Amino acid sequence: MWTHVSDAALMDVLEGAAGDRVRDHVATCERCRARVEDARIALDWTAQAAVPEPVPSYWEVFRRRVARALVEAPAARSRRPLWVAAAVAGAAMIAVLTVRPAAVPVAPAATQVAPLPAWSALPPADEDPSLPILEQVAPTVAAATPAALCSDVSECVVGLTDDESRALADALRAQLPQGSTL
Amino acid sequence: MTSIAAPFLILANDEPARVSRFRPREEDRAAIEACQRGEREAFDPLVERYQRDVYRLCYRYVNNHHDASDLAQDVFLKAYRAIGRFRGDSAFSTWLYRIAVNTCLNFRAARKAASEELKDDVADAGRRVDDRMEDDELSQQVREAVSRLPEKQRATLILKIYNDLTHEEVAQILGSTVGTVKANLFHALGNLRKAMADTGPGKRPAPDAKKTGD
Repeated sequence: MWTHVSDAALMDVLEGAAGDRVRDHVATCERCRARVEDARIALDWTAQAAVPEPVPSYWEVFRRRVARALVEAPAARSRRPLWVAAAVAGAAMIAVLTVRPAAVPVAPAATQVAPLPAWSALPPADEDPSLPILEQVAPTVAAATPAALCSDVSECVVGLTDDESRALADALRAQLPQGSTL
Repeated sequence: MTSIAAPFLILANDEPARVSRFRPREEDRAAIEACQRGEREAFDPLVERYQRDVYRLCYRYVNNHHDASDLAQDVFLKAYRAIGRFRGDSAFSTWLYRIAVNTCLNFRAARKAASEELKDDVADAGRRVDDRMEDDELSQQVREAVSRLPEKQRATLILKIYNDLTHEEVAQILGSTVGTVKANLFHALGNLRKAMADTGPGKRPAPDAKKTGD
């Protein structure tokens, strides 16, 4: 014998989906009937609680805003090639700075140093795990970089042709410790 | 994230969301598959189709336009980024609402001030002026009471009543069972009834006063 029905069953009563047994109980049980009526009142209230509707033009603006954000989102994910390129350029810079005084005489810069390209994509030096590796391969980088033709490091790296860039990349790969990646 | 200004909020009937069972699944599937192939523009019709439902769901949680707008945008961004993992074994709307609920829950968790439940007497300190425009008092009271329900009850009530989902769909979204969903919904209505009775406007005659069980 039961005393009262479950809350799920009372919900069925409220929605008109309860079986005869449950409905018969609620019809004769003052407590359960009162609970159902309370819930019914609250249900009626919820129907009156409309969400303030933005003006129709809002939705077009919203769609545009989402679309703009979506365009920006993939850009954030496609940074890896830039990072690799920047790492290669950074390697060249380190190599030239490290090796130049002893191995590669370069004419002093006669003009104002050009602003660095977008190398700010590089992580801070103390957070860059590739720097120790790059330092190891610095001599090779210096050999692959036509530093004598440059007035400064940035110009030297930026001025590499595609073939020179590939040669630099190959030289770097050859020097990387096994299993390491840029 | 910047909110879109909504200078003229008007009260409209909160028309029930048209959910998956009322809409051919194929309509979503073509767009989803195109998105999974990398066609970003294919996401636009999905945004257009569900933006109102997602916005309203978010609004039910935060009770103001600015946060609801930001949250709704966040929901779509998350959905787009994760759409490659959407396997199609549920309706897109179900999947999207699940993201929306989680996003709203995370937002509320981050805003501890808003996490007080029914016993919290602090009312609408953060509400914006524009949200009060032409906002019926009872409607406002009910929304605030709903937003203060315990999490599971609130999610169940919002999804079942305001997004017009079936018990099965709500259970799928919340990772629950149909029986639990029904019980939570019944609890939510009972708590809503008590909250409205406690906070003043609830003392007004109910829509069907003769049925008052107090």
